[in-house]
Amino acid sequence: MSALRKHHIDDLSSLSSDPATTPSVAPGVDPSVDPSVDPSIGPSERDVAVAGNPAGTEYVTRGARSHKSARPHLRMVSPLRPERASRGVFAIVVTGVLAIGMISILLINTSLAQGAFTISELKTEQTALLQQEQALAESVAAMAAPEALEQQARAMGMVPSENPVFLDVETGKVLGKPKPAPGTRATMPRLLTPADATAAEGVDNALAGLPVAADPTLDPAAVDAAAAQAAGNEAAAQAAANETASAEAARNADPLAENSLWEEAVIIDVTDELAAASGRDGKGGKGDNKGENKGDNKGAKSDSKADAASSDEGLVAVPVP
Amino acid sequence: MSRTTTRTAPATRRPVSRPDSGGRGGYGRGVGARGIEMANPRKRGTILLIVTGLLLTLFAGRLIEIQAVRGEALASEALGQRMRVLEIPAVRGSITDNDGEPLAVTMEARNLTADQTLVTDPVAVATALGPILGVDPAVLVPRLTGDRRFVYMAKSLTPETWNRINELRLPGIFSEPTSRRVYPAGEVGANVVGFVGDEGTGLGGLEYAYEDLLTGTPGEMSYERGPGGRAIPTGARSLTEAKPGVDVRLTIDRDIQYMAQEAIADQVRASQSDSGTVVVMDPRTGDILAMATAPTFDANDPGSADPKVLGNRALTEVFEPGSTAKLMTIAAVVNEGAADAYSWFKIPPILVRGGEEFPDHTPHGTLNLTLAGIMAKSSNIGTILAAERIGGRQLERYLRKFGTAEPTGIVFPGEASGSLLPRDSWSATSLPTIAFGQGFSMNAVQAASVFATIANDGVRLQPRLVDAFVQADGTEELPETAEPARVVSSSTARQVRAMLETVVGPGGTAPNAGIPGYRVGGKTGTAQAFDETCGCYRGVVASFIGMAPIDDPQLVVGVFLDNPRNGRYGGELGGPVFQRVMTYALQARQIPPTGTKASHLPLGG
Repeated sequence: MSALRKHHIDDLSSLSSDPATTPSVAPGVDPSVDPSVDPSIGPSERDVAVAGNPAGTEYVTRGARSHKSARPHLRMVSPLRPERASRGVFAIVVTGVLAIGMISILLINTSLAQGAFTISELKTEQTALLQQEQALAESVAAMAAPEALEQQARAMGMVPSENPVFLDVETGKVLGKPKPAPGTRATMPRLLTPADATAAEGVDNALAGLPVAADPTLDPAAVDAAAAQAAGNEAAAQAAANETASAEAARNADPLAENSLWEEAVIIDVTDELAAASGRDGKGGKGDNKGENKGDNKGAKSDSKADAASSDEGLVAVPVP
Repeated sequence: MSRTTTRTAPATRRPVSRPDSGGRGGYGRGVGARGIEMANPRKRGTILLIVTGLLLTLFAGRLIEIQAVRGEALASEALGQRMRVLEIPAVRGSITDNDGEPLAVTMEARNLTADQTLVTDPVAVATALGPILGVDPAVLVPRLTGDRRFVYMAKSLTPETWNRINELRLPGIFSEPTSRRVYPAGEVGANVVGFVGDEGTGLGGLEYAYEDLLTGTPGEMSYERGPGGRAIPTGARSLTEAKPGVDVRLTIDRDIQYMAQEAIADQVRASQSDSGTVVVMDPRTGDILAMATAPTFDANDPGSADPKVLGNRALTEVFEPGSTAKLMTIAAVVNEGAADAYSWFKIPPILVRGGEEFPDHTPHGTLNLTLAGIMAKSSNIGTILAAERIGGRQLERYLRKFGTAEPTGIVFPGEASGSLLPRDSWSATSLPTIAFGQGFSMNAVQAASVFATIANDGVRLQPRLVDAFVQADGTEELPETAEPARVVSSSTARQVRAMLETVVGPGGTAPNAGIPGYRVGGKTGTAQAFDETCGCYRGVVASFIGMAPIDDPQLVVGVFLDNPRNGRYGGELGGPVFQRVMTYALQARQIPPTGTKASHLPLGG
């Protein structure tokens, strides 16, 4: 019995690398499951068992191979000791890992919570900024609405232009027929100076950069001529000068105002006229203006206008079809 | 333990078991054979087994019930307890003018609410709220008193106003986020853009027509929240972004629209008309640059407006066009080669057709007029004589080619397309009547489109009101438009335009519509208006439709005044409005004069 058992242990050491057999003979395993090592079975029985068990046969065969070297092999089982010693280390390692893990989780959770706080703070800030932006955009939109713009322009003494006039900057040619804008002395604005513009609030600030604020003391004829000559066109310069002359006549009726949409040169022109006109009297209304115009070379058109009212079409009575 | 058992048991049982048989059977029986001592543990084992079995069965049953039978319901209930779902409202698309200037935008807003049970001192709270809301505190007190837990105090406050209220830390005063539709330009384009109701859905105009596109699709955010209400960082969460509504960019130019509204409003007042309409078109694209009506309303406050002014007359009302339609008749005659601008017509004082007498507006003896003269002086008799040269069938064909009684193609709620009887149903007086623009109807846009066709060298373009649909990512989708269709030849169009120029010239019916420096042309109309309430003709529609520059038309402006009491004629009432709007539009579009000389056509007399 003990011989076989020894063989068996030998077997274990010699075959410890054999994965198929190792588990079946692990030290803790109840030997009773293995008939080949059941100590309660008598020799004869064991023989039967061994003979009837192919596995047992193999043990015997293998055991026979290493039969003589039983003792030295026993020593080699000893790796159990270092294992035991490593348990302490293992425990420390495991505890350490656990501790690190828990601390990490704590840190991650803290930073997540911190992140959540930051997010909600930033979101609040974002909302506030968005609201501010919206409020500003809305007030800009309200001020930029055509009606508000017109009111502001009128408050500055501007009036809509009655005929569109263009200055071709390339040729210096005036396209369209310039005509004094309607308006009375009462609505004449005080000309904006850059100082006024900067003193004014909000939208008015934007006007500081506009040529409307150009120096009102310039001589109109000089500027006209200069503008045209800069374009290198003598004829245009002459035309501009003529224009100034005809505008001179118109001033008796009304001062000029212009729409701000025009090219810079035109606006400067207007500003100058305004400046010149501001020194004169002129209380003509719209009607007076028309009357004055009849006198000059634009009279033909005005005459036809006056006649127009009488010659209009009529209509006929038509039965319902 | 097991080891001892196995070692001791065989010792005692061996004598007994041996004769029997070896192996496990004997082992089991051996235990039983041990009698009274072993009976207890065995019974205990059995009982334990049964009890355990029962318990396990019970557990298993419960497990199956929880996991399999009610599993889903329970899981979702549990999730529901910690899951919070928030709807992310989709921002309604904006409506802008052709330059991207806002006509209708959606802004954030707050509804002010109160929990009456938490308001300890209603008077103090009302006194604090009153000045901010601009309401008499006495009105607020009843709404703060009582035991209702949710009462609306004010709706659609700006976030700014809410911030001011919030800073007061008033007990029982809360807010809920919402949105409000803002029309920064107020009345400008209100008749086109329309308006929304209290729930923010479009109730009029394009807000109504494009409701589905503008609305967008709301998104959803869900997250698991802890007891504190804060989101569980590692919990399940999902976010479906809201799909904002599509922006609609119109062809309307906000500035021209404003000028047109001002001009027509002034003239409606001055002429004491029931209403007025202005349509401004770019004939080269079909774009409607302005579509103004008067009186109109403030889109920010449609509730306080007369319901009658909430529509868009330019599309929803039809009228008999009158003399402006002579353009179609004369273009048809010229295009068919039946006459040209220089063809002479002998105009009798009265023309009798189908037993009816057709006079001209000014009594005259027999006149000799060219076709141009007929146009310039708006002679009914001359137009009838010219129309008879091509006959009713051709006249009808041309009227329909010009778009009469056909939808404009503009998507707009309640568009009325007018009507024109088919040729087969015409009576003896139909041809002469229809030739000078009575007996059929069209809306203002259709009427302006006829002139745009002549302005565009005889090719008719579908009028456009929507320039593009702009998606949130910036991609643009163009609305479908009908194919351009040639109505008359370009030489016909040129000749007709020259005739239109004579109308604003000396001897024409609208010399006050001219613009110094520019060559303009147009046609006056003073049509009898059919009043459905009496089934008779009562009042007139005075109109003027014109274009500039006449030798290269880039703008068409149509002016219509309904039932004027102070004044009557299209040239007299519509001309000045045309001049004012056209003058501004030429500047705004930066269209310089062409510098060419006016054509001089013999008119006769």
